[in-house]
Amino acid sequence: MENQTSNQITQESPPKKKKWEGLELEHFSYDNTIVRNFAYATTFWGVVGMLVGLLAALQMAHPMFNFTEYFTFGRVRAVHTNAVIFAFVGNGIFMGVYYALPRLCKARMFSDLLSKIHFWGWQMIIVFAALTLFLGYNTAKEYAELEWPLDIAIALIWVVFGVNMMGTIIKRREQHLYVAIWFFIATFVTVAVLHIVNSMEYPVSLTKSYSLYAGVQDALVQWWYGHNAVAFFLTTPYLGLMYYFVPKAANRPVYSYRLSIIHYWALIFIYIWAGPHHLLYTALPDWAQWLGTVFSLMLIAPSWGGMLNGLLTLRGAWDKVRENPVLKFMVVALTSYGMATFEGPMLSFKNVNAISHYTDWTIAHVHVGALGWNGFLTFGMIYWLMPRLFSTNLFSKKLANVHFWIGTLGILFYAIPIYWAGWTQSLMWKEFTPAGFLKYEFLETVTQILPMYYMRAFGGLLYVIGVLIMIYNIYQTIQQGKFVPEEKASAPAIKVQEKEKGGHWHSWIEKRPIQLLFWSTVAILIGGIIEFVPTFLIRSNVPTIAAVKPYTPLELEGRDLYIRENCAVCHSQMIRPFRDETERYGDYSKAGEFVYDRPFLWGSKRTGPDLQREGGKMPDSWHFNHMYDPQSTSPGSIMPAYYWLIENQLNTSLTERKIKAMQALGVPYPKGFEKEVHEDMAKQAAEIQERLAKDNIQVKSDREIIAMIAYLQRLGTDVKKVAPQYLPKK
Amino acid sequence: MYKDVARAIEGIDIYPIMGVIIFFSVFVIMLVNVYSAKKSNVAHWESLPLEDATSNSFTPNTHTNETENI
Repeated sequence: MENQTSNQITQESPPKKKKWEGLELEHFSYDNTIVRNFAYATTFWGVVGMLVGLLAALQMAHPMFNFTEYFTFGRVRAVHTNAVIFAFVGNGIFMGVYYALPRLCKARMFSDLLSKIHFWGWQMIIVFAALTLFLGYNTAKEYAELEWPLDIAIALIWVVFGVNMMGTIIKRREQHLYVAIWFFIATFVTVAVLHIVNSMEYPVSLTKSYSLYAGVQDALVQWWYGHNAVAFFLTTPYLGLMYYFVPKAANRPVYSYRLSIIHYWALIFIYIWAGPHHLLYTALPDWAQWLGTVFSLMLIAPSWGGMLNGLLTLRGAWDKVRENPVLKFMVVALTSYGMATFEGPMLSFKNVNAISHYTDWTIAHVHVGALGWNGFLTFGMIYWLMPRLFSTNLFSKKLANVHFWIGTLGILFYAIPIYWAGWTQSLMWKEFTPAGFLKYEFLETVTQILPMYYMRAFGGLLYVIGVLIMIYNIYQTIQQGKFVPEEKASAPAIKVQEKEKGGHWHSWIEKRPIQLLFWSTVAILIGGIIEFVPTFLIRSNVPTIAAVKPYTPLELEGRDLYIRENCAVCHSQMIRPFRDETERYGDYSKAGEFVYDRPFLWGSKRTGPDLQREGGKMPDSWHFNHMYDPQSTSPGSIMPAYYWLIENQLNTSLTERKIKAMQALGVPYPKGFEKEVHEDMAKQAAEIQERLAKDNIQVKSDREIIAMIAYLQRLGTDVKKVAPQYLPKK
Repeated sequence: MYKDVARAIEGIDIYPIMGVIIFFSVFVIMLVNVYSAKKSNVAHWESLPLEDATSNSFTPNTHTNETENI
């Protein structure tokens, strides 16, 4: 190493003037229009996403906030998560990248046209995403709910972004790739891999598809995606932006550049393994669960390394933090990041997860990340960027401070009650009387936490008010300034400098973006492949249960309605092997029960009770009444009424194709069965209609409610036919 | 459980050990290299976001001796 560096010096040692003689500065400009547009989009979708979130919060406090079939909690929740993650934070990422990347590369973005396609393509996808989700076109995979045509559109636009980014990097004038750029590259490759692998679907029509994976595999792929969407959409790009904007705002370099290199490689290598911690105590094989736990624990190191690196950048400059609202936002963002990334590994311990999983604890955890880390860093960037883009000063520092305090209060009012709600609910679920019976009905655990839900909505309201104050402040800033569409810059070309040989090994890779892209991909693929390969290839991983049979066509249609209404966001179908759960819901879930489930519907939150063993527990008429008016059967329930299931005729035009699709995916329906589906459905529907008639409920047999009842009554009944000693052991 | 699952693969026991060795050696090599990087280079790299790339504030980017003064 010593030799190499001394070589480097001799090579560069010739008199300075000579070296730079004849080296002409190239003049160019940065495109500020694209940055401004992404900033507008970030703000706009931010408000939309947060308002939809506020609606969702109110719906959880009282069912009267569910309007018509299009705005029930199931659909609203999907729109909220997608809007906040992909519209608000997504546009926030692009805003920051399109500002930081060209400046770090000392080159204009590769192509203005690609920038435009990227911007408008992304906004179109968001509009269609919101529309289709409200309409009920939904794959039921959390944060990947969009149907296949939109999945393809996302992949294409993502590639446009990648080409534009890599093109800029290749034509750059600064040899060294600053660490922020590595985070952007890792974001690009990993999100591409995650999105494509998780979106593998078998299309039935333009708006309906079935997952290529079933049951346990589907769950594993989904949470590998789900967890890494948090890692590589909400974290790595924002860490890149942190490494650029925090030094910018503080006007001093990052605390330790060396630490940032270690931070990068450790984070992307470890993060990718942690996904299975979303599936602890489920029917997922044990070894995969442990893998998730161990790697989640290891994640503390790089996460906190990065957080401290950001905070320590401000060492000796805390007086600036007191005066500068931008730095205030960034400090709270980094603190929230630190809290969330400490809590995450803690939640990955099986004993903690036993308490936290399915409760509002998880919701509180993610909102510390979303409101604190992503939200506040975005606001910090906007307050820093907009005056510069408009060549003026911020309209009002005072208002920015008001936003900061009201936003911080909003986070506290959101998080504290909802943590409390999570702990309360979990403790109530698990409490037994001295006689050995469950102490509380499920419904009691819901009504108990309603005041906390109201307080959470109030916290959300404060947060939104803060954003509205920011919008007013930025609007006034824009009014008093003048937009600078092109920012002039100049730098020498890179060619002369590339002749340098030797040097530090890492500088070798830093100068070679394609190789960096390649090795980063390798690093994230290792984890992904080791998680998947055994589950994919080895049969014994999912012990089969002979009694488990494919769904009848009517049940399959009912299941698709269950997916359309997104019931899985409130009702899990996964009973963990705990005494309170088996007492409350029935025998714990076995991997082999889900082999025909495309997609899997295990869920991740129990706002309502688990439904895995619901079949046969209640008469058909109870389900009918419960769907029509949930409060009539369950007083105090917060479930919305699904009256349209009784009014709507079941659409059976796709049933044949659905059965064919299932056959193609390997579901063992007998040959030629697809021709008998309508007969089969009519027969099963008539039976349900008859049972309902006995309880004085008159309904046509072709209504959606019949299919829904057929599905609910099927749930978990297969294994009840098998004596326990013949079931596979966990 | 893991052994049951992967029993079919011969010599499976060596895999996790290899995994650990690869992971730690890569990590150690990276650490050593990062901390042996030249101070002046690091000083240049970390100052990159603070340069605004206009002709006034531009710093020649491989000229390590000059950057130390930033």
